Formats: sequence, C-alpha cells, structure tokens
Amino acid sequence: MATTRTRLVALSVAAVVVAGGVAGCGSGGGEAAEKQGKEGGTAVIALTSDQQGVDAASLNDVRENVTRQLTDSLVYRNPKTDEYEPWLATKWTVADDASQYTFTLRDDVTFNDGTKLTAEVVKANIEALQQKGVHSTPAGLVHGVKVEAVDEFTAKFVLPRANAGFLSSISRADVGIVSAATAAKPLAERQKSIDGTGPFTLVSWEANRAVVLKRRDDYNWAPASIAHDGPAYIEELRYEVIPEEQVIYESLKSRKVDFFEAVNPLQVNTLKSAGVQISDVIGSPGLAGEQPLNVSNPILRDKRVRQALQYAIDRDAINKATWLGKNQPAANIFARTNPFWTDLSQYLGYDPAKSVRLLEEAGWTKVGDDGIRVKDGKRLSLRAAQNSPTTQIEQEEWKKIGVELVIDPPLRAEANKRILTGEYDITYWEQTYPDADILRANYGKTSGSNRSILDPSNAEDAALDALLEKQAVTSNADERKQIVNEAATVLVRDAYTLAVLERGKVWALGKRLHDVTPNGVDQLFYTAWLSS
Amino acid sequence: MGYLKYISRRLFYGILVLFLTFTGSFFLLFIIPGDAAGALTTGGEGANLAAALQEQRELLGLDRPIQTQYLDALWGALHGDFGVSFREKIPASTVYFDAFGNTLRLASVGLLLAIVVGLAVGLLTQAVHLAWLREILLAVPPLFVSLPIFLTALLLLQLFAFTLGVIEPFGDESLTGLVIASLCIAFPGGANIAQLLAVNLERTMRSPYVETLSNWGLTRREILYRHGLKNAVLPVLTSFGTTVGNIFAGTVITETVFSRNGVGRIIVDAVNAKDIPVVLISVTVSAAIFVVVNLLVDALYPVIDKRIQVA
Repeated sequence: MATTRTRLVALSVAAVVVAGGVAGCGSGGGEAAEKQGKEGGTAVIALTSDQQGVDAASLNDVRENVTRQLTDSLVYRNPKTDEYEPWLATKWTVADDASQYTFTLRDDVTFNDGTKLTAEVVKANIEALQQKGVHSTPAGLVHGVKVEAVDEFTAKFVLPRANAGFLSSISRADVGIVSAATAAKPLAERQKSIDGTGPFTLVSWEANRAVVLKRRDDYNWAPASIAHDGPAYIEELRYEVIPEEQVIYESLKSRKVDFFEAVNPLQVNTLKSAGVQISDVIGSPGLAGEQPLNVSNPILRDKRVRQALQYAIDRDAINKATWLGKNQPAANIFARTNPFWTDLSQYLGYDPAKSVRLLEEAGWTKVGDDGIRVKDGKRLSLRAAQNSPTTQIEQEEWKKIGVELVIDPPLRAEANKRILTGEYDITYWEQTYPDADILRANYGKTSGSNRSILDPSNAEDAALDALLEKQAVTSNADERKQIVNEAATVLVRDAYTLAVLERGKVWALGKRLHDVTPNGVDQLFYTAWLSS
Repeated sequence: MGYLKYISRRLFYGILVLFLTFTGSFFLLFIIPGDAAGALTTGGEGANLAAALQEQRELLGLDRPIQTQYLDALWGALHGDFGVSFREKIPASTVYFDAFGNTLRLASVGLLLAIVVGLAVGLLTQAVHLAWLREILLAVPPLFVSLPIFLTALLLLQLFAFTLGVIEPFGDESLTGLVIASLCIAFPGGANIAQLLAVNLERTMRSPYVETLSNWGLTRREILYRHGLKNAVLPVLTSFGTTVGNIFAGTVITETVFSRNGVGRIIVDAVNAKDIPVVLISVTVSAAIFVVVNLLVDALYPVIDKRIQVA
C-alpha cells in the first residue's frame, strides 16, 4: 500500500524489469571512459509529497529514495543474480535451522559523524528498531531478534524463530545501519536527521520544500558487484517537493528536474518525444499486483465464486488502459523478479464463459432484473476498497457475468483498520521484498496480517496457513521452494487473491542524468552521473 | 459610549466563533472515520499490523476517552500550546508558523493587487466615457470571478516559468515569483471587488441626490469621487471579510501548483493524516484572522458612514 492515491494507482498495476535494461542505466564498457571528468554537479529529484523526514524507521516512503542514499546494509542483494553479497559485512554464517546469522563486519567503515562501525553499533541499531513507535515495516523485519556482539566486528543475530528469508530483510533500507548516536536518539529526532555510512550525507531537510544530500568524499565500501568504487560521482542531490505532477513533467522536459521515480505510464510517450529518458518498468521484487479476496464473506467462501471472478479479469485490457500495454500480466502471486516465481499462468486466464459456468455450479443461477445474480434472495454484490483503473475495469467485466462490484474506497487514515476487520471483499496490498516469507506476512492467519481473513476451522484455509508457517522454518532451500510453490499455487488456483499485472514503476531521467541503478524499486544514485 | 458597547459585543461574538470553530473541528475529526494511527501505519508491510495500529494509538494518546482528549486540547490551546504534530513529531505551532509567513506574503500581495485593480476597474466603469470600453470593463469581472484558480495557476506557470523563463517552475521565492503566484488569487478577488463596486456606483450615480448635486453645478467627476464612491464602497467593505477568506482559500491550490510551502498545503496534509494538533492550530488561526478582519470592518462602518447607528 502506498501513500498517495496516484501512487496507489501506479502501484496497483505492475511490471517486470528486463535485467539491466533501464534506459540510461546500462553500463557498457565505453561509458567508463566517458565518465572521466564528469564528476560533480547537482541532480534535482522530484518528489510529489513532503516526506516528513529522512528516516525509514518511522517513515514509510523514504526508504527507496532518500534513506537508501544515506545508509548501507549488512548485505547487498544483487538484483541480477538474486544472490546476497557482502556490503558492510564481509561474510556471514547461517545456522542449520536458519535461526542464527553471524555477520563479520568490515573494519574500515565509518559513519558520517566519524565514529566506527562495530558489532555494538549493529546491536544498538536493531534494539532501536524494537522500541515503540517504529514503523511496522522495519519493526516487523527485526521483531524479536536479539543481537550479540561476539567481538568488535562480529555480530550474532539470534532470531525468535527460523527465518530462511532473513538476509532479504536485513538487506533493506528500512533497516539500514545508522550511527550509535543516531540509534540512541528518540524516534522523533531521528525522523528528521540520521547519520549513516552511505555514499551521501544529509545537509538539510525543509518541510514541504526540499531535502539536500551531499556526497561523502571518503566513501569506499560499495558492494563489489556494483561497477564503481570510491565516492559517488554526483556532488549534490536535491529532492524537491513538487506536488503537482504536471509541473514535474514540464520540468523534466525543460531540464529543471533530472529524476522522477513514479511516472504515470500514460505520460511516457509525451515525455519520450521531448527527449526525456524513460526506464523500462522497474519491477518491485515482492508480489505482483494483488487483490486479496475476503473469504470470510459467505459469498466468497465458495471458491468457485472466487475463481469465477478470476477468470473474468481481462488483464490485457487493464494493461492497455493503465500502461499503454507496456506491462505484463501476472503469472503468479509473486512478481517475476522474485526468486520464488514460477509460471502459474494456467490458472490466470481470461475466460468469462467459464466464469458463468462456475457461478451456476455454485448455485448462482438466477439473474435479477438489474443483471446481477441472486441466490436465496441475496444479490451477488461485492465491495472493493480501492478505486483504480483496475477495479473500474473489473467492475465492468464482472457486471457481464452478473456480479456487482461496489467501489467504495475508505479514507487513507481508516484503510488499514477497515481492511483488516474484513469490512471489504476485495482489497489491495503491497509487498516489496524479494522473499517467500511475504506470503506468510500477508496471508498467514497464525502469524501474518491475514489479508484473506482465513478461517482456521476451514480445512483448506488451515492447510494454507500451515504451508505458510512451514516455509518460514524450513532451511533446506529446495524443500522450502517446493513448499512455497505449493502455497502460491493454492493462493492463485483457489483465488484467495487475484493477481492482476506485475507491479512496478517507471522512472524518468532528464537528458543529462545517467546510470541510476535500480535495486528492486530502490534507487542507487551512487552510480549516477551528470553529462554536461 | 455606544461605540464601545458595539465593539465589545462584536468582540464577544468573535471569541464565541473561535471557540465554536475549535470545538467543531475537533469533533468533526472524530466523526470522519479513521485516525492518525491508521495514517501513520499506512504502507506497513509487517506481519502484525493490528498490533502496530494499537501501539501508535497508545503513543498518540488516541486510546483515551474523547472528552479527555478534547479538554486536554482545549486547555493546551488556551495556553497557546497545541501539542506535537502526530506526523512531523515537532510542535504543531512550529509546523504551522514556519509556513504561515509564506502564505501571509502570498495572500497579502494577492489581496493588495485585488484591491488596487478591483477598485480601479470598478471606478473606471463610471469614469470612462467611451461606451465600448465601458462595456469591456463591465464584461471582464464576471469572467474573472469564475476563473478556476487551478487553471490560472497552471497557465501562469506555463507562461512565466516554462515559456518565458522569468521564474523557477518550483519553489521560487523571489519577489517576481511571489507576484506571479499571487495573480491566481488576485484575479477572482479583484474581479469580485470590481463587480460589486461597478454595480453600486451605477446605482448610486442614478439616485435622485446625484441629480440634485448636478443641478447645483457639480461636475460628474466631482460627484463620482466625493459622493458616489463613498456610498458605493460600503457593500464592498461588507464583503471584504469574505474576500479575505476566499483569498486564503485560494492559496491552497496556488501553493500546490507553484510548489510553495504554506499553510494551505499543511492543512490539507494534516486533515488527510488526521494530524489533530496541526488541524486545530490551523483552523484556530484561520478563524482568528477571519474574526479580526470582520471586527475591523464592523469597527469601520460607523466611521465611514455616520448614518449608521451603533447603539
């Protein structure tokens, strides 16, 4: 779930990154020479809303952009190989049952305030993220984790339960490592200012105006697989708050803005023709665009009804309407960039005739005067928590098979509560981290957010929940993959959730900006440079 | 003595308005579904969102009975302390007044331009002798009154920032930037003043006393400036409070399109996020401005027109 309505729309639709194919982000051999003498400069980055600060410990929207430049993580996820590589940690060992991770830290890393990275600092970091008030995303990632400083540069993480996906968690900017002084600050203070080990440091944060970052000249610990070392090329990053999107597009065209992270796909052609570089779709490596169905509603308890909805989604039409056809239909609940993705497209076809058959089998044989099916005096009417082009197209498509979709989005401030209590039949969510455990976090009844409102007394629901729990404690990779695939298949085949399109973003780079590296949806400006 | 009593009564009403605005907006925020805890946990990917919601609710004190929360907020406000912003985590007064100066500048320049241009155009409708010019002057204000600020703002930005390059497209804090942004709110405000003045001048200049004055030998110009204007300006003054209100309301969209920091944007964000302390200080200060402007207008009435009895 994202913050602004426009982002919600952009995110509810989805996509895949073609490896290394981001426009202006390729790293051909010839470019290295071209970069010579191209250090320095100020890149202007547009944000649509005030971020209220820079710290991902309490804010949700800064991790992909501002925070990722300020902090590094213990490990780096190589987006091309899905492998985890050394970053602040040079190596690590994982206990056989995946409940303990021991990291050996680099001994030459300093924070922006001059202090040294040690195991004690890492310990203080994790403890700080366990205090009250920390945003649920980072809090969830390190929930119950105990850190032991074995020696100056060895930190042992003891997890409350086995977690085979923990390297993924710890690689995220949400839990990027900050200095001891920052970790000791009250949350309210660190919201506005943090000291990390990242390639950029914070110069100023001004409400509703701008966040300014400056390059760190002594930065020298980038992950080895990134084709650059030493300090960043760009001298200064200016994040400007520009609430009106049309102004951002005009500014990109007239070179007043160099980067925007969430281009409306419908604007792509206009921007391209004005010389703005447009990335391929940057796929979020978590889940595809998903719409959990609430199975606690008696209508949706019958999986044939859920499957009927599923077969009446015209993904190509949604792709055309929201992405000019540039995205891909989902073929699993996982995004294609998630290492756990398998092809389940056999369950995700468009076949309205089959939908009608399924509904009739389920006893919804009578059609009322308004074209909506009726059973035992009850209309086949469902409520959606999101008003997006996707739900609007579904509304039209489902009407053709006799299902009414009432689009009745909650206010942002009440959305979580109303969705969690099962007030809606079709909801939405977002998970961005590339591991299978997101299925448990999202759909698990025992220890997850229970998006589909599973009923433990129902045998099928209970079996799904058990699979979601089991994958988290299975450390054998092959075995785990098999369990995960089983769970994903149940979710997709039995339509506990509707996977629509891949989820992703399109970046715009002004004419002079090059090589912003995507990692998931994170933006790494470390490799970026400005041509004159 | 009568004047003092008149002013004290107006003052009492002003304070009552402030109290009702504060109380009304506090309870309105509770009637609108959702709370700040919900807004703060938006986007959470954690497995246990229900607990996260409860934790935030406790930290923000939203789990206390509503009357306790209200009395605390009221007591604080009476002492000038509106509490800490739920989302910014700094005092609500800092959040508000950091932006207030910007909005005040924008609104003041907009208002000044509206008054000057509005009065000038209104007067000219009676002062010019060319019939076609008069028709134009009478036709333009109704058009400008209904100009959508959003459209004006985008057009002005397109012209001055992207075509002419006179100002920066976002966050321009120069005087030129300020004046151009203020045009968006000056247009409808000024048109409103011009329209009111023109209509009332027209009516005044047709009254029997004008004929009498004319028979005494005064020129039309003398009548217009010495007598007509004085009478026709009263309705304009009456609606001045509304004009100020409209101009402040117009800053919301102007600030958004011109990417200017200001209370307009802050209030919208705060309402969306259910940031009660920021909403309360915003509406209270806005209401106070409205009350003071109306109080001044009321105080000026008897001074301008001696016929108005204040007892």
